[in-house]
Amino acid sequence: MLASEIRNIRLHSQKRSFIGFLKPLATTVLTHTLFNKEIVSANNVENSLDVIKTPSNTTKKQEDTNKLYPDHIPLNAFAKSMVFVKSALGSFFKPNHNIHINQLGETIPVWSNAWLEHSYKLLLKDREFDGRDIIMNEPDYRHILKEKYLYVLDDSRKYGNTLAFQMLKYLEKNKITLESRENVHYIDNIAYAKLYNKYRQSHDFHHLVIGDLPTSIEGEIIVKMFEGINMGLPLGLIGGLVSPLHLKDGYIIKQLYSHYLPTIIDLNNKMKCNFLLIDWSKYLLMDLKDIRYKLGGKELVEFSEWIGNDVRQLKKMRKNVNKIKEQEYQNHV
Amino acid sequence: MFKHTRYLKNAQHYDIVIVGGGPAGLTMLSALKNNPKINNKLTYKLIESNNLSKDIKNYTDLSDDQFTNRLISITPKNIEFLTSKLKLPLNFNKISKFNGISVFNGTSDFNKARIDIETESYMCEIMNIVNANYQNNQSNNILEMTKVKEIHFKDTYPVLKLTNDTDVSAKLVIGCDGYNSCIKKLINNGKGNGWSYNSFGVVGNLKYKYPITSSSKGWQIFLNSGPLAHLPLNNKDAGSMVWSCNKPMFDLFTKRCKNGQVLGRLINCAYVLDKPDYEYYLHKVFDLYESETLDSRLENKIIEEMDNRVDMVAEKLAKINTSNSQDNMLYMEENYPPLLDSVDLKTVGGFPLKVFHADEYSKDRLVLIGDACHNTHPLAGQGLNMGIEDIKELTKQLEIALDHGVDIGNNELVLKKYHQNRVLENSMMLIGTDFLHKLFSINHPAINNLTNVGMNIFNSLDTVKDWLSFRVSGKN
Repeated sequence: MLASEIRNIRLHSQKRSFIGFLKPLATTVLTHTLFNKEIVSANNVENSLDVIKTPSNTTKKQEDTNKLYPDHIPLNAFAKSMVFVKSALGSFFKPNHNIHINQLGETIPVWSNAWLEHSYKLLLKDREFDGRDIIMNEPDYRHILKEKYLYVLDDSRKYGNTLAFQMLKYLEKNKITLESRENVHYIDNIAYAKLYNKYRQSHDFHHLVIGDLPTSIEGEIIVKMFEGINMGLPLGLIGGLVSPLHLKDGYIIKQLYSHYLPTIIDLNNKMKCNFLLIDWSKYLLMDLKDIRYKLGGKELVEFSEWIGNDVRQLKKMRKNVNKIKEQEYQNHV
Repeated sequence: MFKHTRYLKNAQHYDIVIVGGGPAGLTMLSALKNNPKINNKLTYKLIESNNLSKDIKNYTDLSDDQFTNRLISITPKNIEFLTSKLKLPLNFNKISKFNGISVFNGTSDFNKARIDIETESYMCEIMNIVNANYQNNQSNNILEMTKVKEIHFKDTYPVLKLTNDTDVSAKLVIGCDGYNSCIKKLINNGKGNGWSYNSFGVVGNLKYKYPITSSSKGWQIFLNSGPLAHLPLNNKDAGSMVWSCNKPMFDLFTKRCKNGQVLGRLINCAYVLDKPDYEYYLHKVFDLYESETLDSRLENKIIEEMDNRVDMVAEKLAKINTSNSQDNMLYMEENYPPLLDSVDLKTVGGFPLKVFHADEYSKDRLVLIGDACHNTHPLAGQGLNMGIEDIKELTKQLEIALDHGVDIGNNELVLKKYHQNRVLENSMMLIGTDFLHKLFSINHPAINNLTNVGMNIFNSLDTVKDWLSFRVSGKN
């Protein structure tokens, strides 16, 4: 293997450590020194730090009247844009921190709100899928599986193919929980907040339904791409189109843009529905394949059969390639 | 006078003949009678094609809780004119007064703008006015069940050939016989500006879910299909609606809809819910009555659905806009129209909407008042008010003519002045309502948001609102 290539990899990793040093500096400068106490307190709440400085009675009462829903953090436009900048930087440099992604999705100025309005209208108008039910029943998927559907695990012959069974297995395999999904904080409209909550809670269902995608960064990017293209989700478009740039492996970046992205666009053209319109709690006892067929026809079924393993194999393959490269380098030396 | 009666053997002669016995014509008759100068010097007669006394008997048989569906709004200055000047014995048990009007913009998708105007107005049945006028006049002034077959001129005097084979000649013929007036055709060939709106007005009486406790108000919402007005009838639990809508909706409401509750709940949805939400239910109602066979279970299901949704949204609206739970309870009552239980399907009826303004109101010995010379969209509720203003102006001109000893049928000296004084105000009103109707029927998000912003700005301009309500109602 070529020595120059390996040097490149080394240089690259050096560069990254340099950027990593810049990151806390940039975020702290932007959030803390720009005299915005609100952001600090907002972060405190988000990080569930109970200690809030200056808890005087009068300010607390005032806050309560401004709150539209219990988890609401009312911010002015400037403070919100600061949260946006901070979370944008944060989610680029440290994508494994959930809080950055959450904040980014809620605070993208203008676009986010326009998308929410558009999607809410979509739900109101929908007559084919479950838009109306989502508005009327306000489903919460965080606890539904563990509370009502644990019995499916006992009878794998009968329920083995259902969404509930597969979902529970999927959660176990990837060591994630649905319960940990945060409520929204920054959206200043009750209906839109409910809608965004619904999206956030059904994100894990999307992982499984699209095709058992792993929760690794590549899998996450593919799901985000799909959500961005299918639902028009701003966070999905940003996450799906920008965040591959930050991966280390050039081959995977190339694969994401030139192979997976076009396939997803092709798939979306044949999709029958917007995933936002699906009330997953209604589909829990349905066969997973039937659900895929109902939502996306046979294209989605075919897609789901190869995508999960493909991503896993891609990663494995790149690991092996890197190992071989390393060995060759050492042999060369 | 002798000269021309000589030629007409079996002709009766009057100074003034009124053609058409609608509210405008009958009020004109009362105005002539109650004006001492005119009453002493001139003879007059009203010719009506319908059987008025039978209609009136049907109306007076109704109790005070039963209402007919044809209602009209009258401004305070006009009700004062009717009661104190003309001394009409109006039945005030059946007239409801309301103290304000709220106008919503239902064309924007979310966050409806609203304008609250504090203006007095009265809702009155047309038959109430007709009845009062009829009681007021000795019936020998009214010729019922007689149509005008033909009008020809003899020595410049109009001669009306009637269906009961008599001829009537007059110095002045006042045409109050509505849009299809036979007098209008003689004046400048009935030429005028106007067009049909391709939409229909649906009227009907409403029944509230709960009797109201606060003072009653008028409500109007501009939907893309046309404005929907929700007006009080008595101050308890009845109201009336005027819904201008397109052809399919007109057919649905007047012909296919078999359950008044569905229609009532749909009106609740129109006021309380956002536009896409309301349109969803409108489509559902359309689907419900698509097929010939009707399932009452489906009907009940959709009624329940609409109720749940309206309750849910109402709760949210109250929660957002108020800070404590006491205001919470009152918010919907104060800011939204009372919720409806049903629409009385027996009273539902419709008529095509149009705008028309005659170029000329008068000619020698012929003059038009009321709907004969101007038709308007009912969204401002000014149709009869304009007619009453016409009547005031015409009687004034006739009085002046008598004072000066001028022939009352003279166009240049008398009738033209009436036209001059009325034409500007009438055309302003017609253009205004036409403009509003057209503005709100544009179904484009940019325009809809713009009207929303405009209405919000207008709502904050109190002086302009006060001036406007003074201009329209004549009272502050």
